Parts: sequence; structure tokens; C-alpha cells
Amino acid sequence: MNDKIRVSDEMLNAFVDGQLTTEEKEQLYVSLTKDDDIKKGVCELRSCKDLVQLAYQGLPASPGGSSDNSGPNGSGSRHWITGIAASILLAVGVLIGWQIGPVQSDGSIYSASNARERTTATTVAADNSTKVLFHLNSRDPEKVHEALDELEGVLAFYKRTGQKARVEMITNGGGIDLLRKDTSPYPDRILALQKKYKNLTFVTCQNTIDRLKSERGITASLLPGIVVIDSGVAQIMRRQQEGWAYIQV
Amino acid sequence: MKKVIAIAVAAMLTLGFSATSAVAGGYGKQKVVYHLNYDNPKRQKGMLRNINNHIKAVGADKLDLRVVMHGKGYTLLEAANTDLELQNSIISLKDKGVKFQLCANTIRGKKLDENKLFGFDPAKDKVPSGVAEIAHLQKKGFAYIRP
Repeated sequence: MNDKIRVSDEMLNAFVDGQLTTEEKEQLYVSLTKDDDIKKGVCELRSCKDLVQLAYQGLPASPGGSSDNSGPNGSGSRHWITGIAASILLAVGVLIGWQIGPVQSDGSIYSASNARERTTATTVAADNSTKVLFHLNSRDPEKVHEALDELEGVLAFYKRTGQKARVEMITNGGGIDLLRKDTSPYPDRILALQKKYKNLTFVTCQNTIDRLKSERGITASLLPGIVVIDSGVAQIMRRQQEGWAYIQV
Repeated sequence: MKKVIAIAVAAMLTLGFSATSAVAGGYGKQKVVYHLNYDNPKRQKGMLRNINNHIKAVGADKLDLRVVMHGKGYTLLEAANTDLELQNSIISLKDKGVKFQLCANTIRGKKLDENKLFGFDPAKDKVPSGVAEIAHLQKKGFAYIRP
């Protein structure tokens, strides 16, 4: 078990930083749905990354990132905290410098984030690819049906026109029902879409899963291949900051 | 260690705040896409009001504003055929430079008669895919609004 987790730590970091190849990601998605520990790991890493990113968007990647976590499990989280603290202090420094010093071209801050995007995105998708985020937060049958139609429509459009694209459907609130084994009205259609379009990811929110448990006593069992992220709202912000287009269905 | 983080975050929030508040005053130029894919008439009219107020606040000359319709959004143009008030507000918005664009997939999928859509000019107002158009516009820096 230990061995498995340790290997996963590195992979999870790479995953959170968007540095995995498609095959590696798929492999990880499968483990994600099976293994609660890994899922939790991703959530923790993601919220760490969030803290940094939400606090200051243009922050360069923490130097204590993926390389640090090759160490044993125990010290992993401490390294992360140190990394974050260092990064935040660095960001404060940058900000103070920016405030006090002469105003440079307004691109200075964004260039840092762009440079980072470029380096992390190379293995996942070229920067010029179109990235579309669908947001579904309702279980209303009509809305759900329309959402899937629109999703499929735009995937087919990009395929037909030969455009490089990544499409993600994020569900939270009632939207999660679409991806739950016992409530999904279209389990087969979702499987078929996943199979047909490798550039499509279905995502749901850990907060919603937790709420189902605490409010209704339901343990959500998800369809295969569904990615769980910490918070749907945070993911929407993150994606938009990363240059994804946002579409609410 | 936690204290350090807390202090750092607090410092950053204050700094960030002062940085953003300095920008306030006048909106400058804006590019905005309004997303319409629902058929509730009240909500549709509400959206047109929002757009009108948006133009008032920013100024028609400083605004590139598009309404992209797909799914059930086309019902706005259908309803305008028999609703004078709706006609007037669409015409007035168009005069202020607003573009109303409809998804070709929707027209095909729902077998719509383009002649029965109020003020619709297939040569100018048709986009290949509503969703792809919205994604494309956002990539070009348009803000996304779905009232």
C-alpha cells in the first residue's frame, strides 16, 4: 500500500499541475474512482494549489512542487506547507515591489503566469487549443438532456472542423445526479461519449459528495471515469483563469 | 508556520485590494457575450433590459455586445413576430450596435424557418455553432453573461 501511495504522490502532483500525458491521466482517473486515499490526495493538493492561486493568480509555480514529494510520506505535507509559505511570501514581495516601484508595462505580472501556463500545458494541450467548460448544477431532466445535447454538439463540431479542443463538464449541486450510478438518466450515453471523445472529461465536486452524505445520508457512487475535484466553484474560477471558456447550461 | 501563512495571505489581500480599487472610475471599452438558451419570456425580456442598462452604463460606442442564441433561445425572435414591445426593444438594441446571433445547428436541428425569426439575416446573424461561438468569443476576451 505504502509503495502504491508513494508512486501516486508524484503522479498526483503532476496531475494537479497538469503535467501528465493523456494515457497517464486516464490511468489516474480510473484509480481516482476506485481509491478514496488517492482522491483525498488530489483534493488536498488541489486545495493547496488553490490557496496559492486564489491568493495571487500570477504566482510562479512553487519550487517545492513535484520534486519534493518523492520523499517519504510523512514529510510530504510539511514540504508543501513550506513551499506554499515561501511562495506566498515571494508573491507578497513581488506585489510590494510592484506597488512601490515604478509602474512597468502592465504585462509584467501576467507574463509570469503565461510562462507558467506554457510550461505546464505542453504535455496536456497546446496553448492554442480551445478549452470549454460546461457547468451543470441542476437535475432538471430537461436541462440535463439539453446539456448533453450541447456537449455532444460542440464535441462533434470541433471534431468535424478539425479544431483542437478540450471539453470538461463540471457538475455540482443537483447536477451530480447525472454522474451517479443510481440516479443518472443517461449512464450509457455518458460512457459512449467518454469512449468516443478522449478530449472530454466529466467532473464532479467533493463538496457536493460530502453534502449528499451529511444532509441525505447518501454515499455517492459515481459512474466510471468521473473525476472528483475539491470544489466546483473553485474549479470554475481556476479554469477561467487558465483561459477556459465558461458556458452555463 | 500557519501563522506565517495567515499573515502572508492577509497582507496579500490588503495589497490586492488597494491595487484593484485604484482601477475604478469609468469602464473603458468592453466586449461582452450574452448567452441565451432558455425560452422563458419573462427571463428573456429581463435579459434585454439588462443589456439596455449595460449599454447605458458603458456607452454604446465603447461596447461590443453580442447575444448568442442556441437551444430554445431562438424563441425570442419567434415571439417578437407578434409582440410589438419585444420588436421595439430588439430594434433599439440593434441600433445601438448589439448583434443577435443564432446557432446554425439549432436552425437545422429544430427545422426552423429562417423567415419566421424576427429581424434575422442568415448572412450576418448565423453562426455555425452557438457553443463554439461563445467559447471563441471568450477566447478573444469577451466577458460571459447569462442573466
